[in-house]
Amino acid sequence: MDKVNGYLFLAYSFLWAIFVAYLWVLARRQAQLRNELADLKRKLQEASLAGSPPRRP
Amino acid sequence: MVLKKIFPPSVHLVITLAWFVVALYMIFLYAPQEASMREVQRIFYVHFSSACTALLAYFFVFLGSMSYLWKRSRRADDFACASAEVGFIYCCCVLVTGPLWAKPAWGIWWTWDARLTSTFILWLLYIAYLMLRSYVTNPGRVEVLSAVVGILGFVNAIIDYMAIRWWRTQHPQPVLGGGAGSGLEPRMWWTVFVTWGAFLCLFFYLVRQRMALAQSHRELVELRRELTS
Repeated sequence: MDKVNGYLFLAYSFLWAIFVAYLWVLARRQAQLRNELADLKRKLQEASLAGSPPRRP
Repeated sequence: MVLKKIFPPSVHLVITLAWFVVALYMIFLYAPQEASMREVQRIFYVHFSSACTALLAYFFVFLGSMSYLWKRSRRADDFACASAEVGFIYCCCVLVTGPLWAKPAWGIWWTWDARLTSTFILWLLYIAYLMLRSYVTNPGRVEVLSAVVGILGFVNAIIDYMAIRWWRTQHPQPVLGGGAGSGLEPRMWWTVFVTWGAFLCLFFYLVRQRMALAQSHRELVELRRELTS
């Protein structure tokens, strides 16, 4: 690959890398939030079954 | 909610990926080789599309900010914030692909001309907006402050757009709406539009995902409040 085509390769590689990385970060944050939400909902359900809200840790 | 039902994110992602396949085919196989710059000119398609999307993203930040200050709508604030985050990614693409094209085309990586400098300021504005959102934690205040930054920063977005029309710059004159003598070969035009379409489709997909994230975060905060009260 000559030097000029190297610039072309670098430009396209950077674009793919940044978009894939950002999509991965978004998916990870979404998964973390989903887990936390499920956990909190479960705690709320347990608290309502027990009749009183759980104490703050 | 309605959009999620009639146009689910998974379908949106598949369409975006298919659109990118078509765009890449057009960039490398359909568009003719430019006579003087040859292969490296193909950076232009992604550079131009990233730049237009980054500018449009700031316009959305401006619209979302105005709407938030006017109606105090949470969705408008989410939209402004998501547009800023995704717009920042596109602005990074502009500032990386630009020098990678400038070096073989001009012989230099960077020059402080009006267009390049105003794009750099746009990038700094995106950073300022996002830093403000992460460091100011006072609810209600952070939305107002970032809306003010979003509105004031739009002045720079206008300067950035008009820079090559108002001043003589190292950066080439506009290919879009540049008047007589400007423009491209028809096959290049089609490639530009298809590539920009793919970039816009990806932009809206990312904004949707980022807004969904903000919604989940808000639900989490409300549940935590419910648990501790």
